[in-house]
Amino acid sequence: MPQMQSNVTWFPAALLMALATLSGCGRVEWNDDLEYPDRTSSIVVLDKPPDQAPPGFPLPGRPAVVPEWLTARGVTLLNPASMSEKPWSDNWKNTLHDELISHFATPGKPRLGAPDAPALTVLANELGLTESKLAEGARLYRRLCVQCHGMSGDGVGASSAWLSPAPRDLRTGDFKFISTAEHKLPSGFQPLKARPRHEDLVRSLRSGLEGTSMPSFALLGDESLEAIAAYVLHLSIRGELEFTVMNGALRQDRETLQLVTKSPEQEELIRYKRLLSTTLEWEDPEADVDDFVAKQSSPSIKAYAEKYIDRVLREYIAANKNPLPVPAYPYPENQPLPATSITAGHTLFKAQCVNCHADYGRQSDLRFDIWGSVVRPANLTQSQYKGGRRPVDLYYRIARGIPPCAMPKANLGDTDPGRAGWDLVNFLQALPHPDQLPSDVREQVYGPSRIKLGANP
Amino acid sequence: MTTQQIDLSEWTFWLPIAFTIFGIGLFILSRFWTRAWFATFTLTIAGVTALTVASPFVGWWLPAQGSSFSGEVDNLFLLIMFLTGLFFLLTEGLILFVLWNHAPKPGTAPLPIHGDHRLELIWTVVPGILLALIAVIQMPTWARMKGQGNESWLSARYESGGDKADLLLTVQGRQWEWRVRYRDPSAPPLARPLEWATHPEASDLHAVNEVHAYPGAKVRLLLRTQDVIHSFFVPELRLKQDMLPGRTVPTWFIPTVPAGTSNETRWEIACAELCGGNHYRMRGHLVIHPDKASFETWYSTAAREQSRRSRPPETGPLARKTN
Repeated sequence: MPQMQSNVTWFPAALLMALATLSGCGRVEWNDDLEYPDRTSSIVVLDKPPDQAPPGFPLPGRPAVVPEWLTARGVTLLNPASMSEKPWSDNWKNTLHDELISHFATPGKPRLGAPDAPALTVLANELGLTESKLAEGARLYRRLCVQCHGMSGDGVGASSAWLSPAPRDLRTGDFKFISTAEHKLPSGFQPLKARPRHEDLVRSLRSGLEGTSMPSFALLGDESLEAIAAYVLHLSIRGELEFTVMNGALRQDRETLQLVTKSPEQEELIRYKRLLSTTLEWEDPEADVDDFVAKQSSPSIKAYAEKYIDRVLREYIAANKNPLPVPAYPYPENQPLPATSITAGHTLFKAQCVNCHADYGRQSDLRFDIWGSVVRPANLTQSQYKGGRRPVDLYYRIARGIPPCAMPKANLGDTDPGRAGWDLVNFLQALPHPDQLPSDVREQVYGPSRIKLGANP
Repeated sequence: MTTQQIDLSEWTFWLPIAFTIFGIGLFILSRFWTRAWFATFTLTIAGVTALTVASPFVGWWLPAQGSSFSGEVDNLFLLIMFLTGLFFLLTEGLILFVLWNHAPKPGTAPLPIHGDHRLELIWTVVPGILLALIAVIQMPTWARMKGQGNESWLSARYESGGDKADLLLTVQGRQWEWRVRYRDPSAPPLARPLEWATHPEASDLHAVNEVHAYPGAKVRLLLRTQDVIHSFFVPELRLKQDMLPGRTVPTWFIPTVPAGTSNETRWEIACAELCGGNHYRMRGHLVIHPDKASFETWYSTAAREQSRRSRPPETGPLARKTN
């Protein structure tokens, strides 16, 4: 009889083993027939974000209750499910879908620029978004990023619900940690978006974002990081086009869909075009003005998409060529941070930064960012910096701000902005280390009795 | 969601099917051939023994010895391997003997037997003595690995003596990466190094996923975790230490490389405690520089980069184009 018993135990064991072994038989690439999902999440229109987060939220993130809280305070939430057929008479939802497919293809075979728009492909290649690199980037993204950032870059991947702060939604074209100089545009013109440079994207991938759930991918090597950065741009540009068109459509607002915000006089358009031609290396400014005006004022989605991608690609290229200038460090290098500089930085900090970084960031004073998620101004006493801990990274944050989080750039004055900037950086570098602060500053920051027990007193 | 595709050329696909067919076949075979179980067991045991004996010669043996105590750990491993191997062969031999000698005979009822007190006593006491022996033999090694040995730089609860560690660093595990912080080697010794693990100094060097050291360096690690339990494991060092939330767990090693190594040696740091969905991805590198000088070059380069006050050099497609 013992043999009969073994008969009973063999089959479940074999079945379990088969299931366990089969579970590893997935493929690393996306399937070829897979398409990016259309946007369904709400578009948050934070023209005037509330300067306070809803009470009772201890942590930054994307709490489910926030949409209602936002709507109750007059913030507009546009729901793509309620899209009407306006403002075009044709079936524009499908047109938009087709445009996205033709310009960006699918996750399995990503590209940038439709085959009938070779000019876009040239620009994309210049930016390094070649088809082979995008394919490699998509493969890595599928393996390493999709769990949190989602297939279309929507930031709601499978594990995002448990993460604080929430993973980045790449589909608005906004990036936090950038080192790009601002374009100076005359008033009345839609400001150019704050685009990240190649360096910025690769730095975030290489070092991770300390203090968040974004880990470091340094061991992948530079080529892989470049491929991921390229694919992230691909996702971002795709999402941004979708976002912008939907935003305009949901607002029933044809103006949003034009590249010029003010209802334009022809004269102004020419000026605008000339401006773009210098900053973004647009085509010959004097040519086909009539055509340009016609396209801008009565856009079809097809024409609009092409024009928009063209502009965004040029903006990225321009951003790479237009880094934020870093002034020379006015104090001797390789020396301890000068006390006078730290004190000057402290004065600047008290004047400009404490509104949000209350108690040097130790108080949790939650705010909103443009994605409608709750963010926390950094605790600067912790020696933890999301955007990098090099002094030059701190300088970038100070001099450029973090545009999507409404962190403004610091006002460094006119007399010696370089010195003021470095003073602030020096103060921030010394802030987490009480023994580095001049005694009067230390007393103000840590209090007479609150001097942190140093490891090496 | 994506659908999973089955790849018929993957051997892992056929493995469970082969197992199932083998099991069913064996079951049916044993109905007709009373020695089927004997044959299976003989083949399996012979195969396992042959694999074990052959593995050192085909590169399936232990990884390189990379620390001062790795030889001791290997000796203990071999001792236990020898003892358990001996008893494995002994007990399996007995099983084969019984399977051959007492195979079912048609028409004969099995003979019921009751236990043998003397036999049971023997096979309890003998392994008991062996286990106690192993426990005693491994004690000095264990104590040394846990910092209770004669190394003066580890004694007296950490750096109070003049003999300090060459490299002091904290490794903070988090889902899913290793955040590493080095104390400036030229800084004065610490009165309370454990406190330094939670109180960074301005001169510390921060890094991610890479621990650098050089041969012969007395490396003291202070392990911490930001979230769940992780485990710092470098197979070559024979060092595996859990990181517990809320605690600073000190450990140490002295890396060794074969004499004459002129390139840097890279070993994998793997998390050895299931720590979440991406546990498999929690990897780092332990980089052993060929000598102290090249380590110091690396350190000063990294420290200079960390205190960079100018724009980093351009990289990327656009930068390459202009070059």
